[in-house]
Amino acid sequence: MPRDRDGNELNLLIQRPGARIGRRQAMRVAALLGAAGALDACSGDTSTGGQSQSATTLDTPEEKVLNFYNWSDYIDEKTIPNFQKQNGIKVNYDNYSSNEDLLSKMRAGRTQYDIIVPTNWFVPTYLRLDLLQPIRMDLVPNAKNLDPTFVKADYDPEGKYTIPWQWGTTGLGYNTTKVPGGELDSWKSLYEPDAGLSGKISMLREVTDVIASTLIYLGKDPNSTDPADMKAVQDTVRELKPKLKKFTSDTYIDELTANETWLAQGWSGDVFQAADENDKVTYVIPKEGSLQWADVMCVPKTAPHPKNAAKFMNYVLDPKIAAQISAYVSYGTPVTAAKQLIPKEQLDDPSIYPPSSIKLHIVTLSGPKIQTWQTAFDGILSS
Amino acid sequence: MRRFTGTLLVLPGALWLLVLFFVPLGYVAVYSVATNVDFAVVSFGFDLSNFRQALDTPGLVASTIRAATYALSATLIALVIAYPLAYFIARRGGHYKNFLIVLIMLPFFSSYLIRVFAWVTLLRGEGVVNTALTGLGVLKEPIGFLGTPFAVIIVLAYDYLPFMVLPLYVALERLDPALLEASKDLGATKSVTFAKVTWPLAMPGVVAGLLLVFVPALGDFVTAELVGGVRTQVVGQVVYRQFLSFQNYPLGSALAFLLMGISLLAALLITRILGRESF
Repeated sequence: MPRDRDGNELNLLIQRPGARIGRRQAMRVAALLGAAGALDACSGDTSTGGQSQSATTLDTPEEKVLNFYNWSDYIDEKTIPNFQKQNGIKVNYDNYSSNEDLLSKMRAGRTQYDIIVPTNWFVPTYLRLDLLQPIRMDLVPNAKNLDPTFVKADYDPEGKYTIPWQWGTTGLGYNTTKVPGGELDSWKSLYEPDAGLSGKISMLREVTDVIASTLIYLGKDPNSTDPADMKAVQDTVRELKPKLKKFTSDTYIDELTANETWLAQGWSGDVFQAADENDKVTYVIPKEGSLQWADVMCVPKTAPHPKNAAKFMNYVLDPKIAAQISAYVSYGTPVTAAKQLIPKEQLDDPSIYPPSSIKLHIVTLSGPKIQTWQTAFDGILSS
Repeated sequence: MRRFTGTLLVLPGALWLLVLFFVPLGYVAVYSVATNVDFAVVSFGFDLSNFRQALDTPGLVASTIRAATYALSATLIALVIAYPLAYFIARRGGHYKNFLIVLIMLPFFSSYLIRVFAWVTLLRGEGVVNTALTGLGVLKEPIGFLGTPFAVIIVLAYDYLPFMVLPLYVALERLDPALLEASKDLGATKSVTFAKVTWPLAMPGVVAGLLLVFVPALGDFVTAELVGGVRTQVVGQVVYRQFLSFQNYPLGSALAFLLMGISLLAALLITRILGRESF
């Protein structure tokens, strides 16, 4: 079982006792250490993945093992032990800390993982690289419990390859003692910042979040690839850049906690993590609308135990179990019936379950959009 | 027979180099001429356009100059700190020499990331340095160190310091005290002795130290990533981004080769200019 060395190392660094939420908190810095690993990852990579694996036939009995590769701090403490007890399947649980890490590892060739949990916008890439196999939906009757938003979504139109794990939003984390008025609710606060915030602002270093949220701020279609729109996005962020501290997808949690950053574009659960330790920190989904994303469970093509993977997915789609996980990690549950089992204060929290008046967009990176957005983003970061 | 033994002796090293250096480098070479068809999708062939694209990468020149400036500043700071330190250990260390050298190496017992994070805690607005300085009344307002070139250079110098100390120590330790005495006997002042005897004899150590610090500091990107900010983008981050964020291995590989070329050039320059007499 390969261990995620980098991830573990970072967990040591970042995990504080008592802190329990924020799947992405464990530092994308891991990816930095893994950068050399990206070269290791070169081996065995061909134009379309090229990993062939004889499909597991219906009747092949599987070894009672499941290798689950998930974001760090993204599950409660009871789910895995209870699943093991109930099914007699031994679960090996490993963590990664970024989509890039995960994709690099999967690109490098055969792994032993049975379930991975990429973010929805990466799914088209996995499919293009032929890295996934269809989920044994016949073993997942509980899929009927799913919120239709996440069924046959545009990243998986046939609904064959993904089952949502949790969903969350992109928004603004801020320090209530530092922003003017102590409160904000608009992308304007980020893109037209108060002079006093200069150098205390960070943005996500993520193509999708930066481009799409800037498009929303500019009042454009958040899925636009129009060259004029791209130019407008670039100009907007470039103009903002001198006032930014940095682009970061991980360290902002720590920086919000330490009052080093006062306003950060970030992911809901991550900001809750900072808020857990610094009560001046809070999270808001801007009123103009924002991005909704889902981390989805997939079965890699080379998974040795696809049936156990399906059994586990079925288990976590049980409303009781789903509620237990989501209540713990403070992200949104994709299981409709689980909502009534979630503590009321979470369900009523607009930063976890935003009111329908706020328009949330599920953005997928597929086709020519990837190239267009990346070029635009690269232009922003490099200039 | 003798020749055969010689071959045998070189074999493990050669194999090591082949497997762990040339094979991976070969992969990078193969990727650098492949084509990135789509996000994360590579088609192998012979395509030199990556190099053209690499040269056109926005911000490449600026980030390279920045990286070279940071690396050079860090190297010089490390030299200024390391020389007296190495001198002291080599000439005055006595029985404690080995112990002192172990102390120099001690930081390497913990991970680089942990050490950089220690610096983050030191330098941040509400960090140790600012709290101490404002507490003592030296500063009215805390200084935002993080995100500045200053922070990047200081942490680079800190991290690579042992690589400067060790070769200097070795060179100074070997220095024959008789030469210094001879210089004194012949009427040279302390500073003349230093300029004419100590420094030239320590030169191989200086050159080795400069190389060992400058070259890795030039390619370093973790430091700039963690204590730097939007204004401290270095070329290593440009390469890193192509591999990880953009999953563009071909362009990343071409950029890596460019960076390798620059490092090689810098290394040659250092040895040429400074090492002429001593090598």
